[in-house]
Amino acid sequence: MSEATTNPRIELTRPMIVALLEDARDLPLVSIGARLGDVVALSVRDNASPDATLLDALTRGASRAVQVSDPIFDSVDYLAVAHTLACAIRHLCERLGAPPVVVLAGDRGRGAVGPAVAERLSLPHLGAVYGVEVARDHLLVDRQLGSSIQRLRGTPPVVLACVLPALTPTARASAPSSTVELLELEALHITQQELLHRRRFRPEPGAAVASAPRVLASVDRLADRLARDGVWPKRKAGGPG
Amino acid sequence: MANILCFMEQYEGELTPSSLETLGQARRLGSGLGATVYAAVALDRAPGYGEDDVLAKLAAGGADKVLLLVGENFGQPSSTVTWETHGPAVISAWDVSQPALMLVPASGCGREIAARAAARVGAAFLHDAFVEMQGGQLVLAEGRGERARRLPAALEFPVVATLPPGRYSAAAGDEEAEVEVLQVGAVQRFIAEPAPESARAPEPTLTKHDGHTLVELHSSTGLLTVALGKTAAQAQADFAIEGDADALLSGLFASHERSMKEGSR
Repeated sequence: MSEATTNPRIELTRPMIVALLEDARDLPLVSIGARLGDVVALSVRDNASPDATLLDALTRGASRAVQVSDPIFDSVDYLAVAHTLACAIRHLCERLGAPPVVVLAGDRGRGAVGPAVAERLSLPHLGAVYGVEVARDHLLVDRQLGSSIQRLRGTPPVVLACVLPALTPTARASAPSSTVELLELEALHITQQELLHRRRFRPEPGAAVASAPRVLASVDRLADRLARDGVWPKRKAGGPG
Repeated sequence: MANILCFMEQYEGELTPSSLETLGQARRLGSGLGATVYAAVALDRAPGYGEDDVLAKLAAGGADKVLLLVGENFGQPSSTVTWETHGPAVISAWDVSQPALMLVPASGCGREIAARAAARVGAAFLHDAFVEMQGGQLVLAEGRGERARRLPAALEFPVVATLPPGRYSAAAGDEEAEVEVLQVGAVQRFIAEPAPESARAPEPTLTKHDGHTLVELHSSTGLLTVALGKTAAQAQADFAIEGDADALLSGLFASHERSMKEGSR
């Protein structure tokens, strides 16, 4: 029996989930998304060869894989990529006549693309997402915050930047039943020119800055310091040392 | 040089060490570049007479100007920080200070806010950044070794950077700061509720680097690394504890386990 929602705005029976795949490390997003709805795996690449990560996404349960290709992505920054992804999501939604319910991104490394896509789509975003589930017409989102887990309840659409190592999927053995769909910038009504100016915002390879760690006297000093930053469980006063 | 804006994070009502370190580095940059340093802090109400501890700490920590971002949502524990709750406040602070450089501690809250703020204003973004003066020149960099990246130092466009805990020192002074109060509101679509009892944050993970012991804490975001023992791994670490690496590692995990048990009682 379907769990159709009474919310007239959002139908969560088989919603559209967009998984933003930067590289193979983001593949667990497909498994997360498949538990929520029909997954469209989406990426931008600097060449038009079907991306191996997207092919892998199809074998792991994505219903569609879409690749936006242009050589310019070799040289632009996070915001140009996010702008393109946001335009691609709008394009897919227009074709399907439905909004995405959840956009999934990996929360690792710089972690800039997910929040920037949310900004371009004017959606809320949540980072450090450790788990997500559908409960009737809303989402229950568990976030990792330092040493604790926080649960948030809310209604989609939303962009969720997910903590990936803890959500490693089981790979499917079957070959992909569909192919990677290629999109060019023109189809998204984007010109190279409007992305070009983001080239100078991109950090370029350069000499590393020498740094020395903060040396602490003991494990307890480290634990106390990190507890005050909220990233280490706080000991109760008077507890064993 | 225009202005430098620091977003200050609080945990259990106290400014975090990472925030004060971020402010301290902003102070050093501000002095080197002739920039005004703004510290923005979110509070549920403006401090009353005799309640100016936060203001005193921010002034002593290097702020020229303090932006008190006052909104009823900020009365919640710091762990509820999301872009929905704090984004409008951050953008209000940006609008007032018009910074060339915004610095945010690379904590969970910082990650929640920094990249989105950068996208909102069209800024360049650096994660776990090095921002310092070298030979009278500003250095804006991120990454170590072959992954090192740099931005042009001229600050021709705004830059948002997160700074990891421990990389820089807090400042200590006796100056006073101007204070401006900004009333901000927010609409929340995601509301915190009690997490299930079974919910528990992942254990710290351990990685080995060139045979040396390097512990990665909050590894999902690469928040910080700790070198155990006096090793070459220190060059990759934010914190180091010198001594017997194996014993320190055991102690670190025992400390975490002990704290988790005490916290769950």
